[in-house]
Amino acid sequence: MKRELLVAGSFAAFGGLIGYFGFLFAVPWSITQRAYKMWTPVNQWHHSGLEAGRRGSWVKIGNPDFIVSRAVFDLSGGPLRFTGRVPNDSYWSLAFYDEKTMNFAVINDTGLSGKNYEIIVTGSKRQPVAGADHIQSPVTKGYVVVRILARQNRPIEYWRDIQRQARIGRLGRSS
Amino acid sequence: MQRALTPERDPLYVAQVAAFGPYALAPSEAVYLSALTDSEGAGLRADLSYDICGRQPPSRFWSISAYSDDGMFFETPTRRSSFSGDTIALTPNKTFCIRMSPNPAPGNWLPSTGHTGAILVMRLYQADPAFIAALGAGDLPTIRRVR
Repeated sequence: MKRELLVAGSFAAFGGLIGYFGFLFAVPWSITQRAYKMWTPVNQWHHSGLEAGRRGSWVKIGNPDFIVSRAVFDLSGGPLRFTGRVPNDSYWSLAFYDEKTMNFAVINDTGLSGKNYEIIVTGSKRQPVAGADHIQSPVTKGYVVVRILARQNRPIEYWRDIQRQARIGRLGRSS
Repeated sequence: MQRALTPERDPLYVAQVAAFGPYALAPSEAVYLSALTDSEGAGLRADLSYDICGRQPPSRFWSISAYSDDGMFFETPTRRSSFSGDTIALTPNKTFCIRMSPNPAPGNWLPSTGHTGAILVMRLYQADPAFIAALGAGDLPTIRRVR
């Protein structure tokens, strides 16, 4: 009887452990799958204004001071080239996320203020590209976000114009 | 400035970030702090008034935003949902007080509405690393109910 209880208890504990870790992995996986479905086609920016967090927006706990551009990047067709303009008087960042929604690389405006940027993103095994800022991605497919602090000292269209200059293209092709 | 990061691999931490703040910036770039209770431990409510008072945090940009407990901004006529280092009125000694309240107030008024719970979120961008490393409750604004 004791042995049967011990075996049953062990199975229950093992099952609980599997369920717990399954849950832990399912949460980021489900968020990522939703993002992949929402932001199609891949390698194309989707720009948002200051509506995040307002009624009707899908974004909860939105940041009322930032305009955001989002894209799903896919390196399966080769390296990607990210280009655009960095504002010269406000916070800007380009942040890359893996399949678990974790931020694996970020570039901010320090040293880039008021300049155009060019960032090459490759897989993790690719050699650095000479003469370009280079990010080695640990994942083939992930998520990328540009954040611009839309300071109130300028009209929103000023910031949105900078936002819309962002491009994603294949390396070696014009975009 | 380009920064390659080493993302946290602890499954519990990863799941928490995915559930409560997916696609957040790494702590080296931005820190997000949320409050669901006042300084006495009582749950924040949209139909009550609070004074949120503190000192300017040492960061490039900071803000305090108010949300209904469903994570959306309060829909108020002013549409003001946050104060930041750019927009807040400071005292001469560089401290601030924000009044979150359904009733209009002079100064830094953050309007709330409805009979729901409330959430306050403080965001710090490019904060002083020493400040973040030593961050404790005493460094954060107090949230006191106005009676």
